[in-house]
Amino acid sequence: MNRIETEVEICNELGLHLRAAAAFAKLAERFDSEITLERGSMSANGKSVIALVTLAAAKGMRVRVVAEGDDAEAAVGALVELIANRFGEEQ
Amino acid sequence: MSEKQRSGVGGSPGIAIAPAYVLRRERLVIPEYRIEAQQVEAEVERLERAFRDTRSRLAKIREGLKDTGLVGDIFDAQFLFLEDPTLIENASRNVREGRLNAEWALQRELRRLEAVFESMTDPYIRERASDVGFVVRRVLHALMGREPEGLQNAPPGVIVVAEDLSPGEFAQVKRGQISGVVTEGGSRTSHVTIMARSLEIPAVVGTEGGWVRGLADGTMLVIDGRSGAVLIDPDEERVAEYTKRRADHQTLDRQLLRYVPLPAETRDGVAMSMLANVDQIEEIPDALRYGAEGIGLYRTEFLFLNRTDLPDEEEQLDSYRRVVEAIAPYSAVIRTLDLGGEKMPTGLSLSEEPNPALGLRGVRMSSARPELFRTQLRALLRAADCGHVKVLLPMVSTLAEVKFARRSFEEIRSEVTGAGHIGAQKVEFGIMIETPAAAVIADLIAPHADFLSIGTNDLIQYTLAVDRSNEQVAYLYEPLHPANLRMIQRICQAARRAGIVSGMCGEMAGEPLHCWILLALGVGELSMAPFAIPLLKKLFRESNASEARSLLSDVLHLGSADEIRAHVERTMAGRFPVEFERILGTG
Repeated sequence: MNRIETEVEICNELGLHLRAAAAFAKLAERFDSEITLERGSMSANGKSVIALVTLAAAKGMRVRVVAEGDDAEAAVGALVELIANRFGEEQ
Repeated sequence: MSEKQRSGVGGSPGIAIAPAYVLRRERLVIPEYRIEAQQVEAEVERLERAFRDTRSRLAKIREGLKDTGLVGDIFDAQFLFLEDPTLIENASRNVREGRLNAEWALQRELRRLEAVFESMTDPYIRERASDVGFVVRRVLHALMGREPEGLQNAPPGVIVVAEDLSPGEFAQVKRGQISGVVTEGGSRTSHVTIMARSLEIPAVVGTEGGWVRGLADGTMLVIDGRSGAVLIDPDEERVAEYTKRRADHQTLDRQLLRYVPLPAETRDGVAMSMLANVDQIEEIPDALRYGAEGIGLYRTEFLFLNRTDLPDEEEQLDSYRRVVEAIAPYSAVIRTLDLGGEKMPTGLSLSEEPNPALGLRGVRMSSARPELFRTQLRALLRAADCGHVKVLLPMVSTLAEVKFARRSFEEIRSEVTGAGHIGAQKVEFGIMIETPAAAVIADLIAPHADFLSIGTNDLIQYTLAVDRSNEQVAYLYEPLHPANLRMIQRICQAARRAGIVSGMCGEMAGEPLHCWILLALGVGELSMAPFAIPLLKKLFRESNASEARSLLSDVLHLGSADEIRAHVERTMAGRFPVEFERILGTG
């Protein structure tokens, strides 16, 4: 099984709040791979908004996007880009 | 009176004909029991079915919503949680591994999530716990075969029926979401009434008698927000009668629309400013549509309600800026925080008070928590870069409070101006006169203020020592009591001597019956629910200030509210038979 992980910094103003978490989960949902988002010792199901929000990932924090599955590479690429693009928010 | 009719107090005018939606606030008792191994799959299926049912019920309500704005956002967040794998997977695991029944399994997962959210430092995220809890409660209701609760989920177009509604609950209702409101509690001037009026939702309050509990959802109702009548499951004839009456009212409202763009100026040239009371930013376009020439009272409490943290300067600035921009080129009178009374905040830890109406609220709270006050003043003064802001200080009873607040205001003004926000230079600072103490020393207060605003709801309540929401004594709440008229006269004289304007906000200002009296007393600005503006403009435009003054001199020496009211009604109805037939005809 293919396992990919990449570390990235949260750069949008509000951090991983509801809207950002929803965007992340929605995108993650499109991939078959199992997706987790990790911050320090905590990890969250990348397809669960509730779990993502409880990570409390604020602006400036580093998180790891981990995907396991056939489309892991594409998934990590897309999700890292989403975070880098500030979840499509203005700031 | 037949069994199928209730009568209450007309809270907010208009006729509504629609099915009832009863707000039930029963405590949910969660059954907890262990299940056998062979029951596990059936129990998981029951859990999943409850999620599906809740989703489809919510989807149906969501579909019926025309409003895609704020209400839509609330719904979308609920769907997110309903579809979230964390909730359903962990609850299913509790069924499989712990052999818990579905309700217990879901409740345990909710408790776990609440604990996780609770441990977080970010107040925004802590707040999400209540969102998740809300969705879970709906699923629990579905599991137990119970109807869901809560006003924010009221299906569109219904008449909401409740024992009572808190301002916080009502604040969740958006214009156009529901057709009407009926409560057992409440009176002509309670918050339910005031909010219903500002949202232009017909409302009957104070129906009493514990009938709400036994009312089935979906029961057809007719309510008349003028007369206070509530018909339960009326026959076709009655429905037809009220449908016609509703159409007549709407025609009259249409005829009044031509007064919208005109100033409220009497034939002999005395002008009255017509302003709107506004609670939510979304109401401002409607206020303008009804011909408001500014906002006479914007309450800021709603920024602080229904949340666990306090709004910071930037959030407040953003909110005030949107108000000021929406009402431009007119000005907005924005009242500083008036927490206390019936409106208990969640963002402030306050000790319970035996008598909140006489407790720590308004400027008293501002003195006790100066950092809160200064943050708000900074945000208000900075918002003036985008338009005209007037700051209004509530609940004043001493000159020291006025001086304290003015000093804080000027200190922050020079800070803010120094930082380049030159709009702050033109911000006016006003004092709300709503305690008898402030009314009696209005002459001492006025020199420290740029304007006065008479808050009649509280002023009348305190002057007459009548709790406006206590049905036993509500009949004593009488705006035309000679004591009130003398108070108002005194305040207006003080303002005139200081060369400033004295406005009025509160229910009394929007009542057409009072328009001559207030004009003659010297009130220069009236702030009211926007829908009341066109009729008042018409009345002022067809009046002479000299007539108003002679009415006032006729009634000022009368000894009782009843005599004054009778005289005013006779005079106004004689002079404007059509308009006052409509207002007095149902009585």
